[in-house]
Amino acid sequence: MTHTKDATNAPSRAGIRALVALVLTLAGPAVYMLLLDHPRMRASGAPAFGLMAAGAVLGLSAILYDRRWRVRLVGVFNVLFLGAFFYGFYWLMALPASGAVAAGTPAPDFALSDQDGRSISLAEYRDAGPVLLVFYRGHW
Amino acid sequence: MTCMAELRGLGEVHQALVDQGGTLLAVSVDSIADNKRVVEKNKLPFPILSDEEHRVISSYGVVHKGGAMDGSDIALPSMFLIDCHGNIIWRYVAKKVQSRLDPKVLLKLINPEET
Repeated sequence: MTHTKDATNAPSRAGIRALVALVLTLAGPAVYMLLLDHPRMRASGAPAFGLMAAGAVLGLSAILYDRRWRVRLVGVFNVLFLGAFFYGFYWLMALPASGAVAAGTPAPDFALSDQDGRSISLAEYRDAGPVLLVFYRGHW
Repeated sequence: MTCMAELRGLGEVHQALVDQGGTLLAVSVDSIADNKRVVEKNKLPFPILSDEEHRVISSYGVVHKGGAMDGSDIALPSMFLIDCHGNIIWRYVAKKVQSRLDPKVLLKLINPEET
């Protein structure tokens, strides 16, 4: 990698570097979607953030060697993309604090229909053994 | 779609509860028909209960106001472990949409001797 400015139309090594950076950045969210079934990956987003951070660093470093607007654009895009993902991950996805019933208190009883329309009450299950109640957001 | 990932991971946890005479009960505000589709598509071994009137999410204090895409109320992702005396002995409430407990943590909670 040299600072000498040679012919400008051929894809420079820095241009290729910017391209690789872009691929890394876009691979971040894709990998995140693929790893959704892994609770820890899903909660931390580590692989996605890692890829996008590498993309941002590589993209910015490409600008040092090649100041053409295409390279600059990619460099800035990578950083903005990482920023947008970070913002979405930590702020848009934050849930409100809850007034959930505390451990050590009696569990409110209920009767609800299961997927076959049968009525299921907590009382009929809890005497036999532990019950784990899992509230989730829905099927969308 | 994305919220199904957590349910799929809970089959093993359900089995551990069944081994102790208990069960896992999932609850959402979806309709019975929606829940039937979800159970069949993901081959879930445990039932999903339909809390369309939001009575149960209210009584457990896990309503996420305006949490759905269309602005309606849904459940906050959360879990309550209830012992055979009907007491809540442990609870978890997610802080972010994407936070999920590792099923291994749940298995350890249910079977403290093992692992």
